[in-house]
Amino acid sequence: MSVIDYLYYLWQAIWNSLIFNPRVYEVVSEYPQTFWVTLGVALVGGASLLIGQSIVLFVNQVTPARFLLSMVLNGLQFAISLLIWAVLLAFLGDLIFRIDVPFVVATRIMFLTAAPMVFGFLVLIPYLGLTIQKILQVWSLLITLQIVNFQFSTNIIQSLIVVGLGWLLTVLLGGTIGRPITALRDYIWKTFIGASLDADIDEIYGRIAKQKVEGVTRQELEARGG
Amino acid sequence: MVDLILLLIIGVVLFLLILGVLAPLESLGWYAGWIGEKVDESDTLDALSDIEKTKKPLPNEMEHYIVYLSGIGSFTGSSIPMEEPPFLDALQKNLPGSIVIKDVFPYSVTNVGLTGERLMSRVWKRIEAMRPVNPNSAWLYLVVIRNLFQVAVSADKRYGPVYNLGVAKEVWRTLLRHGYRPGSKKPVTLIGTSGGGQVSVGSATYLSYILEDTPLRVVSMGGVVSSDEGLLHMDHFYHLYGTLDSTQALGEKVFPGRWPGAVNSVWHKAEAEGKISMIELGPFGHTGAGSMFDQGTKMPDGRRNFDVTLEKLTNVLVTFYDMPEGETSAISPKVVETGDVAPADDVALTANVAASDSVQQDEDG
Repeated sequence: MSVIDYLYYLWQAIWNSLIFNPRVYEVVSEYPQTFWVTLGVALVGGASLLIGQSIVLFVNQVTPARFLLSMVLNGLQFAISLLIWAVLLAFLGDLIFRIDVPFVVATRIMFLTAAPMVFGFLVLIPYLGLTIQKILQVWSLLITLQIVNFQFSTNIIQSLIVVGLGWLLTVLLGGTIGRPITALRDYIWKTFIGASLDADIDEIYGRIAKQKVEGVTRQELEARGG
Repeated sequence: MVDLILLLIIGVVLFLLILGVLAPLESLGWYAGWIGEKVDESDTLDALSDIEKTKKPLPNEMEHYIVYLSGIGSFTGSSIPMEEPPFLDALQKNLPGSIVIKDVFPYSVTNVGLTGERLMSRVWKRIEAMRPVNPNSAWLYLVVIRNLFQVAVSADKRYGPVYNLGVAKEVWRTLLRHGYRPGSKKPVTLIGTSGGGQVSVGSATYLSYILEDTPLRVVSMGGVVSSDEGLLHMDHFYHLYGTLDSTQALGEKVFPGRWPGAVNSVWHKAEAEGKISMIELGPFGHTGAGSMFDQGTKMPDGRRNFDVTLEKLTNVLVTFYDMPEGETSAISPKVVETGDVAPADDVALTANVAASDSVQQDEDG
């Protein structure tokens, strides 16, 4: 598969997910080689979302090179979080509906929920950005519901229950066995990007503001002749 | 034909989205040190302020520093809509003890105007050249849209602190360049027109930190102002508006913090603290003919819009210093009646008296 072919399939996967075309799930579940295409959707979605939420990187004053690196990292992080989602939903589906969806298939399909996040960079838009972010999250949730419906042949209420339970599980796991994973994530970010995702933004603002104002004062008073 | 219109609409939407995405990057890039000056790690402000405090006032030191932040039609700090410079000149004449500073471009954190050292400066220069020939050229809307997005950056809770810090820093730099002495506690007033109103309020937060206990207030002239934290960091906020100005009225519609139900918002807190005065100017629009700066349109009593605005603004600027100490924060949010305005000549006189009073207070202090 050439790069052009890959980009074409990537575009097809994104577009068909966005318009809720159930055919895309059939294709992805039947053909294992679509893994790289759906992974691409997750990576692009994660990277784009990071651009939209990049205020945290700018506040931490990361360099342009580290900014690019953080896009790759966020894409990977996003893909991993979707992978965890896939495991949880497959587990719940098996538990509730006695339908066994192979983990690899569940993962491939779950990556498609990242399709709306391709527009994540629009979150950058001042004032409207946060509303756009909410719209994208709802869009992604609707795709997730459709995927659950496709995998387990559930109705909308059942799909909602499964997704709701999945969300509860992620909260529960995040506060317990997920802690070392969060610590590892923070360590990686700190090491490669030099910034923490949970930085105290107010503290940083205050510190940098003081530095910048002091610089200006010194320049101007020196120019005035001491 | 329908396809062409559809294509045009899609093109415009895409163009606006691109502009929107790019809008916060200048201030974020400056903050991160990607563009503009680098962060100075030295810790010199306190030391320099101490040195400055011991010095005698500079020969050109004023009693009151007024910084004007123009509306969204401006290209640079000095290249502002043509109706504004005569107004500012008249205001300066009315306030001999004060200085009206007008070289801050409020739509850039580095005070670099659109025609300055920028990637698109050639395009902006060409559009700027059109303004004297055709003040209603559609191309001028490009400037308006570009600057409008910067107002949105200032009002955005995520970027506001970065953007407003940048503008506050440039206001501070400009104050220093015009002889302001750190630690002198000489009062500072920001006047913001249209989008400049929001930027003035936003930058007041950081300016209050820089100026410490110095009297600081903001006058919005038809400004579109959000429920910004800056309202709590100034002594008083005055909003001068025309009753036919639907643009300034957008502020109370598009910013949820100004909605009546948002009782815990900054806006309503400032209102409860008596920090907000709404001052009606008359049946004025936002820009052009019939606006608050218009010299061609007259009120029924024969006064020009220009004169009415000048009188009311001057009145606001001098009244602050006539008021007994401690009463500045006791002003309840109210609409000041048209009849409360002093005639322009009287105002000029009051300004002189106020300036003398202010000098006296300083000497007493």
